[in-house]
Amino acid sequence: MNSRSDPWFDSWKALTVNSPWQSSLEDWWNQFSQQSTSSYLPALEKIVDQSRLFFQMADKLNDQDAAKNTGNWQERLDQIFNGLKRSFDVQDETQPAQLFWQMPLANWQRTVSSLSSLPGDAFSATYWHGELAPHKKLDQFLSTPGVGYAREHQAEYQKLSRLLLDYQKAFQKYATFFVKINKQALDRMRDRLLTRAQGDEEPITTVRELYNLWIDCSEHVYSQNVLTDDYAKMHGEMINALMALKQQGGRMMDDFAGTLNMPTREEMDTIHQRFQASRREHQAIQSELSTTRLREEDFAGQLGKLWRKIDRIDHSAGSSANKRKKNIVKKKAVKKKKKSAKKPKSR
Amino acid sequence: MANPIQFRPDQIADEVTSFAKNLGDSLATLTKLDELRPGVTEHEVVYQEDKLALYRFKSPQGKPATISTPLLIVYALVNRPYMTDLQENRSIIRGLLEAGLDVYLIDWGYPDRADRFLDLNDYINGYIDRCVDVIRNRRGQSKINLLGICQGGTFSLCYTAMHQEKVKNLITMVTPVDFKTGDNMLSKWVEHIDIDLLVDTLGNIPGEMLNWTFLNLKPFQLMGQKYVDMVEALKDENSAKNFMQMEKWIFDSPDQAGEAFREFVKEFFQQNKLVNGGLSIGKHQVDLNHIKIPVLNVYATQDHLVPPDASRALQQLIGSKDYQEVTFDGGHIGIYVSGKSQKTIPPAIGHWLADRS
Repeated sequence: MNSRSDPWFDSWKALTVNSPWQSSLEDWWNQFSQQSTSSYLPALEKIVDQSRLFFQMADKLNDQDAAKNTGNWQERLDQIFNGLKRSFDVQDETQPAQLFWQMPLANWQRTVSSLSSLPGDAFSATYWHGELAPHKKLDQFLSTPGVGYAREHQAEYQKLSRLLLDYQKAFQKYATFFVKINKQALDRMRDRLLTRAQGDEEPITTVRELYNLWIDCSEHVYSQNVLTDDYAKMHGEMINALMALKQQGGRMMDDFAGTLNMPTREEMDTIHQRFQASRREHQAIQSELSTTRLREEDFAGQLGKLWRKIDRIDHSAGSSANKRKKNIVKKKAVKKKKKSAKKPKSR
Repeated sequence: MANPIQFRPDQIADEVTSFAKNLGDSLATLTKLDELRPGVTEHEVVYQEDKLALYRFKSPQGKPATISTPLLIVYALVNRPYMTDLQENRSIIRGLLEAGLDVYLIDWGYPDRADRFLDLNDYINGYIDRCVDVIRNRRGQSKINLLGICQGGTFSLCYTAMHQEKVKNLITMVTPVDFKTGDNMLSKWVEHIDIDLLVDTLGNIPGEMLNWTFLNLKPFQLMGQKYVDMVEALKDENSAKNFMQMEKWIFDSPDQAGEAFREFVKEFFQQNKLVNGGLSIGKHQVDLNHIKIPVLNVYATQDHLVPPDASRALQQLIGSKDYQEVTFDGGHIGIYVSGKSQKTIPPAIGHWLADRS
């Protein structure tokens, strides 16, 4: 058992006696995570991340007019949802709504970080809403042909930059798609709340219920959107753009490694490919050998049977010959006996 | 109409204080856990080749198998096979042993860059076929029973279509057959991906990329709600252990050998060749209609990864007259680990095989 003492957790509980909960959690977690060596730290971090969001929701609701149950609540509801929708048009990752709805996007960014040297959030500060004018200008600039001794080198870098821009465009399209579906999720949530108000359902009285409704609506809208052709195309374009970028980066890195007389990825792949082809040939030969061996064993078995059969034939042929021989001898003896019996006795 | 959201500040304060207490308790429980040991049933390694290991499991009570034909489990290349043997009370393997079966399992290991050029022929007509031969020779039997799980089920179908003389009965579990059903998100998502570019660039496909894909099937639940739920559930060490075992399995994703991945995604996901025909692996044509032996198809009705229709398509494609289905009211993961599945799935497989032994 891990003998971690409990004061850390007691200190967290003590902090939570006084709100705001979220900032208490931040302070406590910062200290805990820096000093903890638990192998479960990544899982703890995920739990704390989601709890942080949960507390943000609670803090917000606690401050909001929504906590009051008087006045024109429909108008207030509209205000809240419109405010949330507007917040998606401004990139502010400190907003709880954005943290929540960017889960699929954040997950992609982590994946990109693990796939390449490019940080996953490389473009988070460079969102352009509306026209992609800066890209057009850069495209033109990067299309300028190279000249002179370093022409090839320059062309490779230009290609890399163009591919980087392509990926950025594809990623931005992907991020914009999520803004769209996040807004749809809010519309659905608002509709669900209004339906609830019109029916006889009990009102939502806990943060957890609201959080679950948030999850349900987001998941529903997400699943509807990601089964469309538009999404499939955009998703494919983003991955293809990242791969094209990474491939070009890899090619340039290989060129560089080659100049330093170091082994390159291309060489390694060639070796592995040849090695695998040799193993297949080796296995095919082994399989043929084993089939041949089985066939040989089969032949040997059949040959053995044949020899035994021949032996039996020989044996039976031998015994018949003996019998015949004996019969002849016997017949001769009888003949002799008869002959001697016929001969007159001499006086 | 009444306000559908009626919060009272004192209620919110109580709720959040209680949540905070549970959070503290659950984090404390998690840090006290021992290191996890995946795979609980005793087993021996009976064959090894490259990174592959073939296990034979020992019956917990030491009882000899009542069904003499051995059963080989072929798991997917994606994720790790210890999902079938996660804990003492959550083990399909244990259930199968208790049903009187002699159980073998292929552990594919973790491919690295040197395995990048392994293709489907190497996996199916190479590794699986050699494991089948090892078991046949050990047991002196000409045929074995085959149980394929998920992608391993697809491999087992292909294997049986090519080497039916070595398979007595076939069981497929949460196995995709028709990859183009309308509700198949994975299939939709790969439609426009240039798989050649992907494999040529990455070599092997990183496990992280597969994790990202699977989490994106239900991102808000799997990356958000699950962890908030756990704050409530991790009060005792047992639930914490269950949670962490599952968490370990979910993120324990081996990289995929590049060539096998290329072929699998292009020929199965993108071209749906098991249904449309034209699939060949190595020098063999794969036609499911060649399968004439008894087939049991087990699928989950709420499977978000392999939709039920994707599995049910099998009935129309095989040539066997002895075809049965077992449905499980749950999801793709629940079928291995839920208490309900432990009580129903292994005994159902055991009975079905006993009737055909």
